[in-house]
Amino acid sequence: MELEKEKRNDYDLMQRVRNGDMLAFSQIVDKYKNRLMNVIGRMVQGNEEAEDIVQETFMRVYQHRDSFDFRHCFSTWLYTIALNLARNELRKRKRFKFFDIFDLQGKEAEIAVEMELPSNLPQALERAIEGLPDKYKMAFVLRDVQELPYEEVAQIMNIPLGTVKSRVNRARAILKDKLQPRMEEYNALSKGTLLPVSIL
Amino acid sequence: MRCQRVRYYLSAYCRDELSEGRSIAISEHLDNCPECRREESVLREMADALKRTNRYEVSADFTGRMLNRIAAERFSETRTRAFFPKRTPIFGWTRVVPAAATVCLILTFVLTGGVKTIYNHDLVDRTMAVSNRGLNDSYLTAQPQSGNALIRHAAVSTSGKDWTLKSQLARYDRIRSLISAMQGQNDFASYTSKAMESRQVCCGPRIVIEFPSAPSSMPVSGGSQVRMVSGGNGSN
Repeated sequence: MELEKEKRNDYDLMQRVRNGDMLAFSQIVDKYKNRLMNVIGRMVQGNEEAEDIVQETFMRVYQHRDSFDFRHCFSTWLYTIALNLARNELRKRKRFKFFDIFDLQGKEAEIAVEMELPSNLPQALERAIEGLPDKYKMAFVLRDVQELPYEEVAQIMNIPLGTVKSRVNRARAILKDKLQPRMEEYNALSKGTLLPVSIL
Repeated sequence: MRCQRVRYYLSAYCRDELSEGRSIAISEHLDNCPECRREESVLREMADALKRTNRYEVSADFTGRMLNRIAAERFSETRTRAFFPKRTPIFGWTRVVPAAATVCLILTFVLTGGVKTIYNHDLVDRTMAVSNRGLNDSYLTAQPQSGNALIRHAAVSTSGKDWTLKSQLARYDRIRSLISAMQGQNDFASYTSKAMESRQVCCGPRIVIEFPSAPSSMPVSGGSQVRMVSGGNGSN
C-alpha cells in the first residue's frame, strides 16, 4: 500500500519535472540521493566517486526525463541508471589498477585490527561485504541493505527472480562463513571460556 | 528435513522470507539440532549487525551543486542555441556528403553520355521545326535496316529515294495494304490501284497502271499500259 503511494508520488513528481518544474526535481533528488549513495557507496567503495556517480545519475534522469516510461517504476529506472554507471566505473578500475604503497601499509594494520575486533561487528561486516564478488554484492546490497523487494531487484539487475534469490542466498552464506569464526571467538571470550584466540 | 537442506534455507528463514510450511519444518528441525541452532544465531546476529552498519550519505551541499549543474545545462541548452548557433565545420559531414554526391552525379552524367542525349533531343526539336517548313528531315526517322522480308524488300525497293517523314508514312500505308491484300482477298489490282493512289499523294507525278482485264496473277508486263499524268501533289 505504502509502495503504491510512493510510486504514485514519484509519477506526479516526474510529470512535473517533464513540464519543467525544478522544484519537483529537487524533491526527487532529496528523496533518493542518500538511498542511491548507500548502494553506490558500497559498490564502488569511495565517497567521492560514489557521489559523482549519484550526481551523474540525477543528470541522466533530467536529460532523459522525456523518455521515462510511466508504465515502469521510477525507482527501478533510477537504480538501473545508477548501477550501470557504477558497473562502468568498476570496469574502468579493473582496467587500470593503481596501488598506493603508503596507503596500503597504513590500512593493512587497520583492517586487520578492525576485522579482529569483536566489539566492532558491523564494521567487520562492511569489510566482508566489500570483499564479495560484484554480482553477489549488488544483489545483497539491493536486497538486504536497501531492503528492496526481490522482484524489483530482479528488474534492476535485469536477471530472473530465481537468480536474484540464489545470489542473495550465496552472498549471505559467504558472509556467514567469513564472520562466523570471529563471532564465535567473541562469544566464547565474552562467556569467559578459554579458547585459542590468535590475535589477542 | 536434513541439516544441509535446512542450512540452505536458514538465512531466508531468519528474514521471514519462506512459505509457512517450510518455516514450520525448519523450526521443528532447529528444536532438535544444536548445530543448526548455532548457525541460526550467527545469521541473526549478522542481520542485526547489518542494520548497525554505517550508511553512506552524500555531502551537505549535494542538492545545491546538483541543481546548479542542471541550471548550467539548461542555460547552455537555451542560450547557446539562441545567441551562438553551433557552427558547421567546413569539412563536416553535412557539407562533404552532398558535395561528393553532386560530383558523382555529374561524373556519371558525363561518362554515360547524358549530355549527348540531351543535345540530340534538342536537335530533334529543332529539326522538327525545320521539317514543318518542308525541308529534308530524313535523318529524323528510323531507317529500315532489318526486320522481316517484306520490310527489307520495301527498304531495297525504296532505296535511293527520299526519306522524308511523309514519304515514309505513305510507304507504311502501302505496306499495310500489301499485307492485308496478301492476307485477305489476294486482289492484286485493288492493291496496286490503292498503292498508286497512296503514292500519288506524296511522290511526284501520278502513275496509272491500266490493266486490260482484272488479273488473277501478276501480269505487269504484256498488255498493260502505263501512262503518266501530271498534276500529282508535287511534293518532290
